[in-house]
Amino acid sequence: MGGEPFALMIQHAGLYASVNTLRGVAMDGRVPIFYMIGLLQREKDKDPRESRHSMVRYCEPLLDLFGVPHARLEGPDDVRFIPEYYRLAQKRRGPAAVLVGLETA
Amino acid sequence: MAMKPEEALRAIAAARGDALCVPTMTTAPAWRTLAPDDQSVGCVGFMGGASSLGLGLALARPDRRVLVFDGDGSLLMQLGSLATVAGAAPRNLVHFLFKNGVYHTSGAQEIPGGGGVDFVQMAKGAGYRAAYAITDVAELQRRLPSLLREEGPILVELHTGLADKTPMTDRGGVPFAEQVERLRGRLIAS
Repeated sequence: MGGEPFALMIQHAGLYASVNTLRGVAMDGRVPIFYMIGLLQREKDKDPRESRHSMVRYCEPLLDLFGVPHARLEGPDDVRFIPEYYRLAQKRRGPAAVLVGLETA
Repeated sequence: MAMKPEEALRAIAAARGDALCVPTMTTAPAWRTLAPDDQSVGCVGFMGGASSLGLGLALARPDRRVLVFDGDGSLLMQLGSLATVAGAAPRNLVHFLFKNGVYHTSGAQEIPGGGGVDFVQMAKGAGYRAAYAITDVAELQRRLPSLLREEGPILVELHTGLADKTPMTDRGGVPFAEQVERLRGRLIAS
């Protein structure tokens, strides 16, 4: 709002704790917020949506529920999603997220 | 006797200069009338977010003073924001806390701890540079010039009664997204 670029870096638990802000500020207020969301405890051999940890399992469905575009960072090639989704948040004037799941380098 | 929140807001409006203001909950309807300008953005619809909204503005625009008009019930919803504000240490942020001991907007139910919660101690403990309690409007008027020059972040706990209007009884005003866009446009242009 003040004209400065920024990124919000939180874990999935932080996303769950701040859903009201996601809705009230980023969506209703049309404030472009770029989220980098850590998927702590994401298993390497499982799709996050099938994780045995509910914190990991519900993250993408929650973003889907609120219509937040998102991409996974799970390898070196995925790093390109960071500037892409940052620009997407600016363009759509709302939230956009990348999910930091596995090591990208 | 506790001051009327409208009296406190009137005093602040007279002293604020070009400060950016972030009213929330029961301060929002009165502030719309007292300061119908586009240097304010109301935190309505995401209770507890006023101080964080003010922090963002203060960090983005260190050349402008930012005044937050928080509520005690609202601050309790996001009490961790005290530490976030203190950690970021914006020198230009003044956090006014309108303390009435109840959730006025939803029917005046008592907040946890009622009127006994000491936000001055909490702010100091979180790391605010200073925190004060003010119980009457004459003292507020007298101290405002120095409070608005003082190095922040500071918290000013104002002991107030209930506002005449709440966001439920006075639903007017510009939608939040339009307020954001309007203020953003002004700040980028200035």
